[in-house]
Amino acid sequence: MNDRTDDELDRLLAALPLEEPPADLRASILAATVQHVPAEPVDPWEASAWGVLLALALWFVTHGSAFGGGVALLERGAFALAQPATLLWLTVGLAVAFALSAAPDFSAGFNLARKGH
Amino acid sequence: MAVEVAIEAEEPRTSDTGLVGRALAGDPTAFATLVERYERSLYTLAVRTLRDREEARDATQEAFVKAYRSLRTFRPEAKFSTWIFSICYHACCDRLKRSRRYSGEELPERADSAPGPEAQAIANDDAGRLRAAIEALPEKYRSVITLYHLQGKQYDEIASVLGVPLGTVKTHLFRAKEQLRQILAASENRP
Repeated sequence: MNDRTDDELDRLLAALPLEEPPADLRASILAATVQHVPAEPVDPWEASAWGVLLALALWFVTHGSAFGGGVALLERGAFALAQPATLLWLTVGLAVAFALSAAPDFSAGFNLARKGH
Repeated sequence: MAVEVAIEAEEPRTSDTGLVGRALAGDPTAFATLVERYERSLYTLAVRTLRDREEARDATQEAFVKAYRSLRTFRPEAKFSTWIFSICYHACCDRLKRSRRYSGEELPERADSAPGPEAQAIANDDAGRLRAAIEALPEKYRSVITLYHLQGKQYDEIASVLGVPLGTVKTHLFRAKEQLRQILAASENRP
């Protein structure tokens, strides 16, 4: 039976219902499109912290390389700090700073002495 | 009477082009309306092209996501239905190519005039018989007859979706109908 006319076939096709999509399809399409939330941007403080770290790293690499490498610079710094003379002067400096800040009348006495001249 | 998916005589705000414009302006409900309007048509195209409901589901979603991301490339003078059908058809073609590559097999190019037992079981009425007959068509005829079903006698639109010349669409459609008649006749004559 191969005698269906073109019109009959067209009518059959037109009457053919569309396929029923899965119930959750629309929700998943919308979730992937209009409801899709892009990843959270980096916080300003986080960006600043990374910037500072990057700048320090860059400085360390470039400045350090001028002195024969970053590790060499660190070693030289540590060696200088460990010298007795450096430690002595650091101790004296810290002690003087502490004494001056702990003696409240020191400034006033100093000013009176100057007036006496 | 063909299934009319694009409603051209509507107000500009609710026409397809109007909705695209609103979606581009940041109105999320506009794209949701387009999804609602085309979901069934796209899913039908995907099911008929892929013959696999799970794959069709993914292809439909992929088509909408691609359309959403490239909404700016849609030209207002074009027809939205043609544009989105084309995206969906290409998503289906990609999936078919992948499945062929992985299975290492070519899909049958000629129609199988005897639908399988599963198809026959659901073909207990006219719609079921026609659906089974379409499924039995070769891929290129399945797509053209499905778009003919969805878009009506708009051969140039079908040609745009499939990316083939107008003459090829007419030839494929003629052969698809011929094969459909044969398959339907065979299924009606079967005891």
